[in-house]
Amino acid sequence: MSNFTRRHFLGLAAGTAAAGIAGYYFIAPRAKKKVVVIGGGAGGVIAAKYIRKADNMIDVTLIEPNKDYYTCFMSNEVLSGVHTIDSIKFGYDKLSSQYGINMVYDSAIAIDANAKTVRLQGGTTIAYDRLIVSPGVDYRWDAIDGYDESLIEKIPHAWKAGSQTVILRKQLEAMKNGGTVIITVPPKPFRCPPAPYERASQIAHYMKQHKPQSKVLIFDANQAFAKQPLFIEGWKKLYGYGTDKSFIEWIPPEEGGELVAVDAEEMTIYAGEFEDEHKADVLNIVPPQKAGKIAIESGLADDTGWCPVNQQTFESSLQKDIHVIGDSCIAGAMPKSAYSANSQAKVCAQAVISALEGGKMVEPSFVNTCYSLIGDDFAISVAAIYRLKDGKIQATQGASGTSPLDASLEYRRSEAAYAYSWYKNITSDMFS
Amino acid sequence: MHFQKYKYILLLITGVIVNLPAKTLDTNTTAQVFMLVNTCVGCHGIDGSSLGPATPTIAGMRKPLFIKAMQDMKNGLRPSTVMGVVANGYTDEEIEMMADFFSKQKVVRYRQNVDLEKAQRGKELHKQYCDSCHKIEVRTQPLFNIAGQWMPYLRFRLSQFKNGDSMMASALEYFVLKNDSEERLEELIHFYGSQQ
Repeated sequence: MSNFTRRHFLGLAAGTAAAGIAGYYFIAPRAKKKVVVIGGGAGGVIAAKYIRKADNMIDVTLIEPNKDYYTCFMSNEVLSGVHTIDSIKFGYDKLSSQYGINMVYDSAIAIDANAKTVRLQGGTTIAYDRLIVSPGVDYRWDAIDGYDESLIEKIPHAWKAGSQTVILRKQLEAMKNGGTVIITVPPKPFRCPPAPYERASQIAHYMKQHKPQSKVLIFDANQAFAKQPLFIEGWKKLYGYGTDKSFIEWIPPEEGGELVAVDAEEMTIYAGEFEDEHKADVLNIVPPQKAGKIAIESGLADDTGWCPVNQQTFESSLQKDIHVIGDSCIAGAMPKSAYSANSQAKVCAQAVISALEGGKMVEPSFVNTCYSLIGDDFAISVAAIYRLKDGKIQATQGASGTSPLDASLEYRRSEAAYAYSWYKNITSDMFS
Repeated sequence: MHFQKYKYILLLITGVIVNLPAKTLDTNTTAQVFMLVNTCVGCHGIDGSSLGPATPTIAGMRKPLFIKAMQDMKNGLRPSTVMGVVANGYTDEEIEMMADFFSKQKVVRYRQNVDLEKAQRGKELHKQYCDSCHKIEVRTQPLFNIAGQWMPYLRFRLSQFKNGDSMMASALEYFVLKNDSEERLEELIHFYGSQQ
């Protein structure tokens, strides 16, 4: 925000803008406050950028191991070939050149909450006044019999975009016409609740054009899923869902959909109460999830595997001066989505500035919007506004919902156009 | 009917449109304003200037029009996709704060795929039919500035107008009647899309 410059929070929170500026000159010689952000994704980037935009007297360091960032959002469209992998690739250059954020390309391996430092793989230690942890999700590799990290080249999860996305795309391209793709969906909660179903849609879209004898089967550990009636309606319209010619089949747990074990050698899964055997040509296991590794190892997660926070400030309930945002945190009614992370990061940025500069935190306001592309020019959406109520983030009454059923093709086309706009604007919010 | 319509236009121009208390906003609420508008810019672009291809730019939108748009969506009077739901999440006072913020933002216009011949013909049509309300050349428009607005959005809106949304329905009916064709609307869209 061009006219949203440094220290306006302090100025405003302290009373008049003038008092704030005067305050700044009095305390000018003090050391700069240091914020360290772990994780350069949808949450971390926004937190770092919005702190600097609001107050460039705060020193912000962003720790991220990868120089290239591939958005998870829109990566299902890479699987179908609608987009290329390069079209979802971004870099962090502007965060340093334009916003003065110190980019450190390394992995955070330990947090010392008492000394208030972060240790990096490369050996450096960075001190902070406030730490924001936004590591995304990690996988419960011990949860599935016969599948772990050593198998992800052969059986990709593709639940983080990048090389995993490319592997799965190549497997789909190499698959014969008449092949079977199996996607397994872990128990909730997991990153991006509608994504498995959008993925199935995009794979069906690819099959319909190039391999019309093929099928995609979704083995689901959950009895219901996000935007379910809308997906089913879209699948019926575009992919013959419910007929014996359907490109997509959804197998809920009560029909034997819950994954039990994987035989990687045989490309076979065992699912359901009777451990029925299902053979795949392409296998996409979405592993059960938990908070990012650094969050778990630093004692930020509780026994659910996720991080409890004060839902107004995102400060950890377990460790002082550390905030957790995005997929790793427990954020009331908000789903684990990129847009949730974006919204939480902006609220967290204000909370961190208030904490460091001694202002009063304003009432938080959250939003989530999420589009799923079912086919060409055919998208559905869900949106909600969230506020803090009784200490918990809750959807505002009457302000949450999905696109309507039975909408016209023009309506779905407009949602697809808005989906692409959503993508352009959220990535510009992050990287430019 | 006609009187109603002109009264409505007058209201838009003078800015007195909804029955909100004419309260001046306290400067202390600026942090609150950013807390609110931060929820808009993820979709509508930085400071409300959208990168497109369809989500409209809301930067520079006149305050009463912004308020009316949000209130109409809230009340189900204006068709939308997600905004009907989103608008419901904000109080009248919050909507006014957002309106105030976006009305003060400079519009950033991005290049669009424009057919220059259509745009040229659209320019003439614009002068003849639309300029009296939607000033383009000088941009001190009394109504919403559609110069450089995203073309797919303009198409969606026109289609909504055709289905009877607000006073634009009769304006469009008049245009189509006079030009004997709906295709010429496309020329107008290319003209607006060509504006930088």
